[in-house]
Amino acid sequence: MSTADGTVVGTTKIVDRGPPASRFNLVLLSDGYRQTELGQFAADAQQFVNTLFATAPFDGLQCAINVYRIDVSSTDSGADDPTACGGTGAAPATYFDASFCNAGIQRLLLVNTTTVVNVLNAEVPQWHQALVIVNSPIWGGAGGTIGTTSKATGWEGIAIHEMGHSAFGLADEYEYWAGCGVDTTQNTYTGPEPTQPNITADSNRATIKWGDLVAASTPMPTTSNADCTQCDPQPSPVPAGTVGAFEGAGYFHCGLFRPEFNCMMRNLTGFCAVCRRHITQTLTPYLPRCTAPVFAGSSPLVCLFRTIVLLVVIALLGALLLLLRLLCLLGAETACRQAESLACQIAQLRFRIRNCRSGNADPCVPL
Amino acid sequence: MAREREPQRTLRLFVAYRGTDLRLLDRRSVEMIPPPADSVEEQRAGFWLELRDAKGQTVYSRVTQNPIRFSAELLTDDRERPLARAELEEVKGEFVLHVPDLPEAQVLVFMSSPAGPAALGETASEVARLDLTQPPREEPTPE
Repeated sequence: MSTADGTVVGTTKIVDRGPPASRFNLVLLSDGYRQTELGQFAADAQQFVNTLFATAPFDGLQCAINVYRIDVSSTDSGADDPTACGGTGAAPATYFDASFCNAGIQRLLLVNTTTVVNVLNAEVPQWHQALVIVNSPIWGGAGGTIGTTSKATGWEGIAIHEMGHSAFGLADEYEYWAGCGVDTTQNTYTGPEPTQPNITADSNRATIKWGDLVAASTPMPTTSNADCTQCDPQPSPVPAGTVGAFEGAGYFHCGLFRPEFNCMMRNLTGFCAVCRRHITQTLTPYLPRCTAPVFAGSSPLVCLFRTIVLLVVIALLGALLLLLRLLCLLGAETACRQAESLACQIAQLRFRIRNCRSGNADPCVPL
Repeated sequence: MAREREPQRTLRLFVAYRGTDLRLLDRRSVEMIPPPADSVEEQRAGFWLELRDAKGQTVYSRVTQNPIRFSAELLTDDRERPLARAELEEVKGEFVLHVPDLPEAQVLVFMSSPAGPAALGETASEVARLDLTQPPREEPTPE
């Protein structure tokens, strides 16, 4: 039940989008995988990466994220499953000592945080977010900067939901705490505006914090709960993806509103537009400032013609860039920003000339 | 033509907690981009972190999940409503936070609405703080 029960085998950068000092670094670690099962862990880690990068907005933010896999072998498979919570009593010897049944809750799956932090600091010093994948089919997991998940069906989506909390500060959008028909204290929210970007107490079209995403034709509030002692049973009155103000969010039946009827932060469907925008804003500092364009390769004749044209364009833009940099030196902040944007455009044109024959399929090449 | 952003430093804090009693286990400065700041207005509900300088001025704030785990999010057997929460019998554990490594930052303040589902709508107030000028209360964890 300790580091004597396994070995840190090695670390692999499975998604390499640039230097770790400049990217958001996500680390996946294994627990409860025997040495002979580490191939399965590699497949599980890749499955998570595939799901993450197929989920908007992460599909469009891949240039911001490095992913590392730390292979850690354990003596035994699985995780502790104490009988105190109705488990089997299994107590396999694993490196991070993963166990269900914490604080009296069967599905709360925790690991030895100190051991995980030591491994992370040693293997990927610039880590931002970690997820320990535990080799067990029993439902379980936990959120946080160091999250855990078992491998029960749908685990990838739950882990992404938890990242929504820990890495992006998103609130839960469901309208109950313990369950619909179970709660007696979650009828109506009467407090101040919540800080989280994806729930609000304000359903006024003119002042709601995501008002710029609400179409003029969308009613506000978009839904109201007729019985605040219960979860709202009504289906969505608007098409999927409509941004509005849907009553029932942040663990309250009434008084708090969510941006869309469904969302990853409500019921594990895709992220709503408000969450997508917030995640994008959070990850923007980790994107390369300027990336190469994606384009198909061309024939020598086309490249010759294109090079001549682009060189003329570059010369003209270069003159404009000199002017903007001069204005920037004189203190014009707008000119500074325009100069930076123009410099990127010129770098992209040069890249096109240099790679005209081969083309470029990688959207993350930094310039 | 490398156009990466300027190098930045992030403070990684490893903290043990029992209730809202915090103990800094390890603190290290790492060359990596910290989470960007959020603007937080007065009189709000929820949870956020504030870095404050020697004069008590907030120099960084960030809306995030409360790392002190009072409750856990659990998968239900209901496909329509797959998630629910449960309060924990015991509030203790460890967590890691990342904040910008700012020379003027003296203290990290935890702003939170009260714990418990019914109190989530109350205005947030300071519930805990870490003095960043003091060394960790235990030796750094060995690597």
